Amino acid sequence: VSLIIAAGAAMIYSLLHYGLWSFGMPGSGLMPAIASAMVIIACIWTVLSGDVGEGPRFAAPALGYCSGFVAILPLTVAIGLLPALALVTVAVLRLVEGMALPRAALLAVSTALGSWLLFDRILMVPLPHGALGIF
Amino acid sequence: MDLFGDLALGFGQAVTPLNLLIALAGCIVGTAVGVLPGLGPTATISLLLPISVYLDKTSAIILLSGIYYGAMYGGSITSILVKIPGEAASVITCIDGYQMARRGRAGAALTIAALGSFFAGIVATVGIAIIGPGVAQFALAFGPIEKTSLLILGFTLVLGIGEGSRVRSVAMIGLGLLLATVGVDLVTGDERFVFDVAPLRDGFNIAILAMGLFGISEVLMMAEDRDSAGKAVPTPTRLRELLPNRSEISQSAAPVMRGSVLGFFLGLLPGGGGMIASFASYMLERRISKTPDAFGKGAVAGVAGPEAANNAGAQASFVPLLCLGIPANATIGVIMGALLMAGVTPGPRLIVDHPEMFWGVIASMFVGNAILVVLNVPLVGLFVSLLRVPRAVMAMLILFFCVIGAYSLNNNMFDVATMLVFGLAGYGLRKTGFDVAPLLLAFVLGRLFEESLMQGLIIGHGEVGAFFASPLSAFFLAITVLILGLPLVLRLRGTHVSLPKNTE
Repeated sequence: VSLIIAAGAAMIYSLLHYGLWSFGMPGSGLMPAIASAMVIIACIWTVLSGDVGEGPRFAAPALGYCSGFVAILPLTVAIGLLPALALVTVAVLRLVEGMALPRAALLAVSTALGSWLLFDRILMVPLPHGALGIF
Repeated sequence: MDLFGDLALGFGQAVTPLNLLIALAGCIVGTAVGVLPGLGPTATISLLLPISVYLDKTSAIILLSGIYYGAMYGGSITSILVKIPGEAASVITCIDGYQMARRGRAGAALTIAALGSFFAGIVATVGIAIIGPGVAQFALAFGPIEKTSLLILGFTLVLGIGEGSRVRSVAMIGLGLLLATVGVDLVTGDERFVFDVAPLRDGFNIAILAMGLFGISEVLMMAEDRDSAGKAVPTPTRLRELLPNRSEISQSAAPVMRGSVLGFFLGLLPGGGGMIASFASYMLERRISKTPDAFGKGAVAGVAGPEAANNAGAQASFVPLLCLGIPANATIGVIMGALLMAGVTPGPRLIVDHPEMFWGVIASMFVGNAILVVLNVPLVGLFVSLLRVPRAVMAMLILFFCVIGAYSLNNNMFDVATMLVFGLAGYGLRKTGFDVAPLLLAFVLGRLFEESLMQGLIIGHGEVGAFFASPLSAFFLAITVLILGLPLVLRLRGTHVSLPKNTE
């Protein structure tokens, strides 16, 4: 149902903003319309054929991981990418996986240091340092 | 000059100590680039273009082509071990290669990939030397109309990929095509679904989608698997167990041969290359297999065929460049830039004006493939040892790998956010019974399809009949109708047909 709504919205938007056919040529809205129609028809077919199932059950650990992923973005803005990843790693390994804090911290710091060496120093990728500019 | 004389001239160029060293460096850099998501061969070759100016023109092309086919193998390593395709051409290997790794056969999968690629490389090189220049002219018969029909046939074959039902695969193909339309439309110049967000003007990057849908969603699936969160995937320790057994070798022999030939011919097409070749090979193997249900669960043929096709396609894509001056894909386009910088204009005159370079590059393919096998087969044990890392730790390593890889594409956090969103969406789709492989493949083929469709309609003055007027196009469409219609006709006539699980 979410896919039908999303594809329906995309189709309406493309029909309103991009033409299907203009000046005797296919318009830029043709492909979005075809693609959206495929999604809508296939999803409606799935619903009508009763092939929907009971609905997904999301396990608590996966939701814990998801929260960690979402936290990466604001944390990066504040403290930089590698410290943010290290912090999320410690939190997930400690709180979700139940790993001992020293072990989780050691793992996170060593991975962050290795990544810094490879990407920042060797490959010269300018990783974001965040507002605090720690790393 | 005869073929052997030409090849002798080429080997005289390729087997000098300097060129051997350059080919080795190219293969090492290429493998590393293939392993690291984000740093694709196109970007790496672009970065190394200034260095190539200081080299002799043959050496420069040997270096750049070494990176190209090194990356093809490197991408397979992460596909098999952690289900992250380093390259678009490795997406298919994720499906069965990763399942083999989970069953403790990662070493066998990696060795089959390396040896299959080596064999395919030899087949492609011989093919290029013998029939490449002649066959390249045939590729010109593929205009936008024929390419559109071929891609429609391709989408029909994609329906058979993955674990979901056929109808769900149609929805995923539609979603992939829809995502491919984001960005500036190259035909009309319109911005579609950009909403004034500057990074969206170029559309979504294939690596972002692949890392999100496969890498991040796999991390979340791993998180759910509580029984083995602290355990590693079973890995053999003895060398004999690391290598493929007799049964796996016999299962992979025919797919490698078929994949090599198929990959060679598909690689010749402008716009072709490893990606289309690998997925066409997967579908061919699945269709002709006596056990199609084994595909998606770690079928040896699902790794051997696509890997061979991928490498053969990558090498054959040099033919349109060297013989016609047409770059088959973006990476080959950058290599063409290197040739032009060296004062060499690729095209039909290349083989006449610069025979030493033409045959030198072909001979270097032999050398490059041998180097890749020597380099990678002994390292299989090292690669497999990565799987001994407990799943929870591996999940975090994948997170680091994907986030930094996504950031390094354009040095912006928007790509990271997009990848994480695709990861969460991929997880949700997988939990609701949708397989994300058709989505990714449709996304990759989507831009090519739209471009060909638009050009085809313009050529045919807006008449759909133009797609039936071309004999080659009509042939592809007829096969499509046959594939879609035959099971339905047989069912209506009451004939019992044994279909794979995912074909309703």
